[in-house]
Amino acid sequence: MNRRSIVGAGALAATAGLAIHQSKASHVPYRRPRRSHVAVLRCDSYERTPQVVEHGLQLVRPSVQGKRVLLKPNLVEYSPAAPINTHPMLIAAVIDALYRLGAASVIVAEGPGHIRDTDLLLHESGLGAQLEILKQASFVDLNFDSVTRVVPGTGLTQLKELWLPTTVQSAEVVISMPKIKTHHWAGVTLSLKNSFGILPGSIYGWPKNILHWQGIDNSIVELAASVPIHFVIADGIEAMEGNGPLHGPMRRLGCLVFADDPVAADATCCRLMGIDPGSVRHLQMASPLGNLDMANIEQRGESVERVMQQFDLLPEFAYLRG
Amino acid sequence: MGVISCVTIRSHLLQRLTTTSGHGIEDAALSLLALRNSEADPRALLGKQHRSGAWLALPNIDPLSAFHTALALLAIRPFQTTAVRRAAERAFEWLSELRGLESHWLWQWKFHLFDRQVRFDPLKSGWPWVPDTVSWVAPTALSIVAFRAWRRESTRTAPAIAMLLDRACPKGGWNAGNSVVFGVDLDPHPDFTAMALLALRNGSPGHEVLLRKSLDYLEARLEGSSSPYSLAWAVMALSAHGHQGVDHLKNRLEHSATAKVDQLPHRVLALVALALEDVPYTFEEPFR
Repeated sequence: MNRRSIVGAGALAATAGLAIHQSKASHVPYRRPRRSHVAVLRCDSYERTPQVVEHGLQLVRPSVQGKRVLLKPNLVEYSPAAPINTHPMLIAAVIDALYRLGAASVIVAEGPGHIRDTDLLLHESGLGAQLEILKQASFVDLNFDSVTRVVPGTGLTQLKELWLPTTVQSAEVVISMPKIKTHHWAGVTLSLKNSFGILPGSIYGWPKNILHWQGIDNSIVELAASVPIHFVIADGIEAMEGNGPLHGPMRRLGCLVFADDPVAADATCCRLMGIDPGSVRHLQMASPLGNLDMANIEQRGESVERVMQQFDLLPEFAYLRG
Repeated sequence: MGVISCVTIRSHLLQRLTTTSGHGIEDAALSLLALRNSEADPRALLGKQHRSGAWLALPNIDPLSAFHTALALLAIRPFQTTAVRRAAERAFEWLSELRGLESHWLWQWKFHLFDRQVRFDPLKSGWPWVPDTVSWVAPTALSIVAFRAWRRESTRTAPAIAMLLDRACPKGGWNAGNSVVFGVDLDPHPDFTAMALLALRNGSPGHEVLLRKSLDYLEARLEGSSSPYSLAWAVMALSAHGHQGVDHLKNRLEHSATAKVDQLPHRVLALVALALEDVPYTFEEPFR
């Protein structure tokens, strides 16, 4: 090992030390509810989503009457071979159900992280067609939305400010609709990681690399603290295991998850994947924002044990196994 | 109803600009370029240049952006006033200083030894979207085009071209800038492919097969597409390379733009106008 390598190793160690120090010095706001409510409902096909969504919303009772609701699906890129995106039929079923619950308006909003041509993605994923049929909800491309300044408050990242879409910040109810997937950087991608799509690409670029350089786990929690998620409806009918979020094989988990707490939702989704949520770094860090502990989660619908499957994990994430 | 012409698109754009200024620098820059022969004035865009010499995506909203700086340079180039040349000087200085983080030896060391899941050569460096991140395809491609269009010699363009070639997808074409991750070949995307092809329009000895595969990908990928944004970029790239598929895609673009003209944002309307010019615009027309 030469001098240059030693200096490099020292610098990297210093960087790692700084990151650890930052994590320890962080102050994630305490928003944990006394109890959270999560419903796991079996759903073996997307054709059945209207009935299952209606049942799920009865179980978690989101308060949407007269409110402006924003749905944030996971719309990344399209492949006919892989279950990458939140299914358009589920999104349509949720829009319909929310209007029946009295929502004043429902907007579907996403800022794809890899793709600038959202029009093409909407067309190929089938979401555009679903929204056209429904004629009840418009789509907002968050990558090109007007923005409002937010000062990150956790201290987990070095970001002095974040410019976030006005559409998201002006919504009265934000419902995250992730696809249940493994993720080759973050372990899992669920409702908290789904918030990466909120960051506007027109300002930060494609992909949203600035978040990766701040530490992916730190950024997930920073965003979760900056943009509260009020409810979660997770698509686990066709989930993804292994090398997610784009190239893993499909795992037919056959369920939808409804929750009034994103941390509790993600913890439950992890358990459904055979993953220990306490081992997922960003979930552990986000625990002041919600309930990770099963003792504080009121479970409705199916029990987790009856629906749970052991998802394949990349070797790097074998330690997540529950 | 017949298909829409370039002139009609331009008049739509002009009309639109009288009521709203658009989303930001991308809208402003592309609109200026599309209307460069219709009494467009670069002063508004010049007025939005940051004191650093860069442009931002939206005025007064950090971070500074290489992509928007390159785009603004291309947009003001046809005007060649003293103010334009002065602004360009400052912008090129800023671009020349901005490097992807991977160009630093410390990060090169990290990528060589630890961070090896993404296949790329950190010694080949271009431009990042924003400072303090690594190089990506779109800002690198547009910066290369800007340097060349302005006839600027720079030591940065050769490694940037090498970076683009290194980041090409195994099956041809480009995505945002990751070609192989965790051993999996990633798919290209049409717009990034078109931008890279515009940057590589002068050819790259030894990479003829890659260029041909990428051009063919672009034509085939958009065969059934009705997205004016991707089609417009593709038409300009195919035209720059003299590819035979350009007329077919141009025809598709005319039809798709006709169907959606009222819904298109400024930047897409402007791109469509540029692509539908008699000879599709390729950002490098001779100085007037």
